[in-house]
Amino acid sequence: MWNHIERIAEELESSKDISQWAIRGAHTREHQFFSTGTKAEEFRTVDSRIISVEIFHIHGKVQGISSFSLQPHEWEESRPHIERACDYAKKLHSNRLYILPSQQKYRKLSLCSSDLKENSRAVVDSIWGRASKKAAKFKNGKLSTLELFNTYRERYFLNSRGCRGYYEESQLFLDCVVTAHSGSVETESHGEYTFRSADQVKVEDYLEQHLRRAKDKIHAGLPPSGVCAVVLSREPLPALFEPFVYHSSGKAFDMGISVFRKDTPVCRREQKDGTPLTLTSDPLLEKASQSFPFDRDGVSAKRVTVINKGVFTRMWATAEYADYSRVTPTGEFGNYVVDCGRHSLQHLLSSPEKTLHIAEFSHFRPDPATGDFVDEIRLGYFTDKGKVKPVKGGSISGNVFECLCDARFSSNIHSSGKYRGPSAVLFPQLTVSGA
Amino acid sequence: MMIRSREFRDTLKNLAGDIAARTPYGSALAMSKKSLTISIDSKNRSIEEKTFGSGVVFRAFDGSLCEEYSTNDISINSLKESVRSFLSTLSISRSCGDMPTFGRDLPSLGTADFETPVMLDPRDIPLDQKVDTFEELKEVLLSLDDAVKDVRVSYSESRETSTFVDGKSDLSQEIIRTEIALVAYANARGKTVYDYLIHGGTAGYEIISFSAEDLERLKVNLKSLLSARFIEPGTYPIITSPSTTGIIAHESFGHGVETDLFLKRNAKAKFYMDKEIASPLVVMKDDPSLPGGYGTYFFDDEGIISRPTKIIDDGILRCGLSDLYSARALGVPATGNGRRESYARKTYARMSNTFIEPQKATLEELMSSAGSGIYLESPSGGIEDPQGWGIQITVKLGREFKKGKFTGKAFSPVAITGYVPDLLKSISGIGNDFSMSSGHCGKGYKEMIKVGIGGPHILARCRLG
Repeated sequence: MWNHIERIAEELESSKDISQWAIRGAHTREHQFFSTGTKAEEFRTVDSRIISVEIFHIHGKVQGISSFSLQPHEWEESRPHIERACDYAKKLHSNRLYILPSQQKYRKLSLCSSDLKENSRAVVDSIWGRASKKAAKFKNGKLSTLELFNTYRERYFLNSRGCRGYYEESQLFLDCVVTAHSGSVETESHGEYTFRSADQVKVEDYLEQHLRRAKDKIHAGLPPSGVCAVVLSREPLPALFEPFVYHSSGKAFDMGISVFRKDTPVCRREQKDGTPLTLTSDPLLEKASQSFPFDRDGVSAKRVTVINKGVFTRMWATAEYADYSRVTPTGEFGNYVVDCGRHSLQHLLSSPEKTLHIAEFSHFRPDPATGDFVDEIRLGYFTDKGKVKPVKGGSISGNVFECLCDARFSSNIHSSGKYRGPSAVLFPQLTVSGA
Repeated sequence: MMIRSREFRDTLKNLAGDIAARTPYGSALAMSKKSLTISIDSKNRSIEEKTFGSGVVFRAFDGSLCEEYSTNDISINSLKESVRSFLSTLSISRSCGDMPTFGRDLPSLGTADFETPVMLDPRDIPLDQKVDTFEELKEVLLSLDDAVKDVRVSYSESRETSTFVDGKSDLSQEIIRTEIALVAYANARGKTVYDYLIHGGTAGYEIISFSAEDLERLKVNLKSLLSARFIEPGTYPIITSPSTTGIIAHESFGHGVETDLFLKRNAKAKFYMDKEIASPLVVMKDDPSLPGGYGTYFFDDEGIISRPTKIIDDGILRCGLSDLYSARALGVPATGNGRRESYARKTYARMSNTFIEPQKATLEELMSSAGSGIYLESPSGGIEDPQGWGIQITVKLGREFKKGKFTGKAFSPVAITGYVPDLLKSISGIGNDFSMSSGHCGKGYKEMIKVGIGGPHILARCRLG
């Protein structure tokens, strides 16, 4: 692909109307598998290559930006696309000027495992074999569906200021649904997992866990309405921190909508008993899913703590927003690393008060801009006077900037996908809408 | 490469024939998506031209197992090489599978070509004119209120071309979709809120207009959001805006009747066919042939011609939405709902334009009938639960009304949760208005496709949180 990228670069360089440019290339090879129950339904092989070009037309202190993408059959005929993009960029030359990153050194990251790359189909077959064997032993439960996406991708980057980068990565995505039944009642539990290598995949454990959850749902009822202690664990946690990532971005500051101020607490109330939040962007974790040696602008990846002990310390910013704010670009936000607290998971769950431990939401997604959330409970465990009963339905609501003031983080760590942080967070008082 | 050209279609036909010679059934689908997006905010403007998600899918199928090879290298020589490679790895053969005669009973459609009719072809509108129009809209948004800190005008026009060939059909379509979204962000007293207006459909540039009423509503909503509180959890009479009604339809017995889930035993609806699951007032449809709908197409990604499906008729669940695989396995007709996100993804049973049909009541009559309650608008998302029939729909704004009038109290965000049949059976009034909105739908949390949602105002009762 380098040959094509370099040829397109030559064409871009020869155009007088183009002041700066960036080219991104990606070659993706993927094996996909889908089951219906324990029966194979479909195998798919995907091969795709794409080159995307971004051009800038500088006109005094402003510039116009335009971009286009090319498929393999268009690589030899890029000239008309470039000319059209130039026309567009010239028509738009009222944008603020920012300069693309210059040549820089990229860390070597091991984001590709040889098993996923070299034995792609065999890995998929093997995981499917293990899953169907496990599911065959289920009692009062079934594997509803299993989907596997084994992706190997090469990424290329070149810009007009000397940035040149390449890396390869592998990623395996597993999606499963397990059902349980008792009489005429049937329930399900759904899970999604992302891995960098095949040895991370504990498919038997995931299926076992989702069978257990589906069985718990059979006898679950609505939680009681009111205010009580709520513990969130594992899967919903990355989403909990999305609003903090959003408001600490150079883009939110540039738009004038960030609620954070430098060296000021991120919580809306004084923090008393809660664990102060320390949030770090770390794109350099090799086994995590949001890792990269450089971002889409060619900015070298680096670890950046944006919130330290509850205080906003610095923004993260892509090349564009860093230039507008006259700060050094940090690059895109990488994996979410959250410092753990002092409390064991057991301690958080053994509160003397009524406690709702939520294991699954329908879709936990606090609004990044407002921080508000109101989300349906798919499965939880309500503890009252030492008695634990499964619950489902109803919802919890709040605002992350408010409720994190009192939140306590577990000392146990959870590592999954792009998240490295406490495995559980306790909110002493959250509103539950239930029975 | 014109994927609708005769030369290209003949090549695909020959290659699908090569697959069919080795297996019970072979087909080829070529998809080309070209889009132009223009994005303008208070400080920047950008234009992007994409050939996004264009490629070819070759399929071998024996009625039981499906194998596909997808590539975006669509030069004729590369496609020939792809099929050679695909055939060398196939596990399906003519003699395997539980239905070796699969494909012989599929409809024979011959050759047909379709195109979205538009009043104003977006290609005929000069770029300068578009940019000027969106700049004006940006200025209007910025002047809505002092609290407005930033705005975004996002416009997209796309041409999605596809060609489907198998032993019996040779189909092509060009679908033009146009969409414009206005988003305004307001910030006051340390609180950031936003709201939006969207117009989209299989239509041309004629949809690019917003009335003074639309813009005034956006302004009022932003002010309401800035002062909004969380609602006291409980059960309330509700009136839903047409787009909120559409999300209820979509998340309840849209996803709930996708028949691939029947097959996987994680959709309860399979056991409730011809049973009452909603108020007798409710007629719900999915219609990929709906003129102008954002989810409209002429044939699906498996070559089945689109047509309306009546999902619920007078409160009785009647029919599911199927792709070819699940229809085959369940022994039901394929409804033309086999859709894929792109050439790189699998076909699933998916919705197109899903809506509740209007009845006779005016909005005033619904509010008067309810007495007091919450008016729900600006939906921000929903999630399906076809197995448990739970429902979660989140709206950005709930407005209290009493004695048929708004009190000025606002709540945000508001979630509708509950048991789907309880919600649908609680519908006691359906409005005489009707509008469709554009939306994007995932299967679970992935496989995004474009859909239409809509309906009239409805009066119901449900749990809010």
